[in-house]
Amino acid sequence: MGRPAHRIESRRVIEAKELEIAPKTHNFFSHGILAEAVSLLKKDLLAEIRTRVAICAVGVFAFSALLLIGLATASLKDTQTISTLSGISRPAWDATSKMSLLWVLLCFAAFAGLAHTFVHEEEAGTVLALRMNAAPESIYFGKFAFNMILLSGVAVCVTPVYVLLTQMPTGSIGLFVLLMGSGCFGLAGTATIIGAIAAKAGGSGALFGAIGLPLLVVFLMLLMNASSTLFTVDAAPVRCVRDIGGLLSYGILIAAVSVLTFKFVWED
Amino acid sequence: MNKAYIIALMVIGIAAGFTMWAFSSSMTPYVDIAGALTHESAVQVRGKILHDSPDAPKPYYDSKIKALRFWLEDEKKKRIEVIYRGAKPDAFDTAPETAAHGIVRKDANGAIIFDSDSLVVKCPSKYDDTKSQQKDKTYSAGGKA
Repeated sequence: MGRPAHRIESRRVIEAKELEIAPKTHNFFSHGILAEAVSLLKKDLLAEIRTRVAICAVGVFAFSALLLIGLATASLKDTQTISTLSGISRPAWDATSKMSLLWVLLCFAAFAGLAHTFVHEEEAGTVLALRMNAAPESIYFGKFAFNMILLSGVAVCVTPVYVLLTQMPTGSIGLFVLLMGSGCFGLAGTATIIGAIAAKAGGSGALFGAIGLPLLVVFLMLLMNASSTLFTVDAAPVRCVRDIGGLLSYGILIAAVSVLTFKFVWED
Repeated sequence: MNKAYIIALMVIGIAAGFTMWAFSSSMTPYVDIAGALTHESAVQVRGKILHDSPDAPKPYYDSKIKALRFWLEDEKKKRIEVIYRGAKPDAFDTAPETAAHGIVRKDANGAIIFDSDSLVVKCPSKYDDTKSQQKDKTYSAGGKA
């Protein structure tokens, strides 16, 4: 019993032998990986500009969601109150509630478009070519960069309109930008690895949502903590570092774990 | 092991530690009443609802503050009045125990109360062995008939 004597070869090496070409070897963090990631990002951006599939999916969703939110919340006034634990009434439609709804919008927009990146490769039958010509790490970095650009673009377009529609305060503008950036980073990192798993499982958007839920619950809890801190007047610096830094560190954690484990998702 | 993997593992370790620290702040700990008195943030207190205690008022709805008021006794027999500002759970009148989520503060009269925004009550019928045994007997008797 136990492992066979011969070394189990990865799918990439086996496919390379079948096609009688030598698979590329890469060093982690080497120039090759960076160059490949940039090439992949350029390819994805070019393909997206030509087909506009992800942009349309995300854009249509974001536009209709903004329209609905604008109509649905038009009658909500800040004077409507709910009682809190401290015994003080606060507006029911307050800054934290507005921030929550903004991230609900961004999360669904992300799920509508970001799953497409890997599913498209599977559908177009370009997975083999990609697997042969690029290291798994560079594919992850390339796809992650594409998702990050797409999500940041959506956030940059949607957030100002949303702020105007709902009159959401931004608190400290530096912290607000940091929170939005950290949120996009975490969401893009989560969406990239989940998109890869869903695509390899031959799944669709529904599978993407189901697999992504456990990771997103933690992400959203950290996000709400960070939002609450952002809108707290004179929040202690330690609290700012803990809550907003926690959100950023979650994104870094997901991205780092994804880089190490992406090889197994991609090749096996 | 490749140097890059060691760096990646170090990054994962630091990020995981920082995330856990941030995530722990969003958790609400279970404490007893003495612990709740020392906490400045929201906590959860589990205890017995004093429905028919001779030295504590029965639970009642205070229409002035639009809240349910009752006394809670923890395992160490320490008591505190709970003010709950929500819809009364269906099983509250028969529930022996509850877990209340909230914060300790002073009310308008200066009395220390536990201001709660959510209650989790244990439905007594679900945990009553005698009832379930009676039900089993009824079913078995019906089967024989």
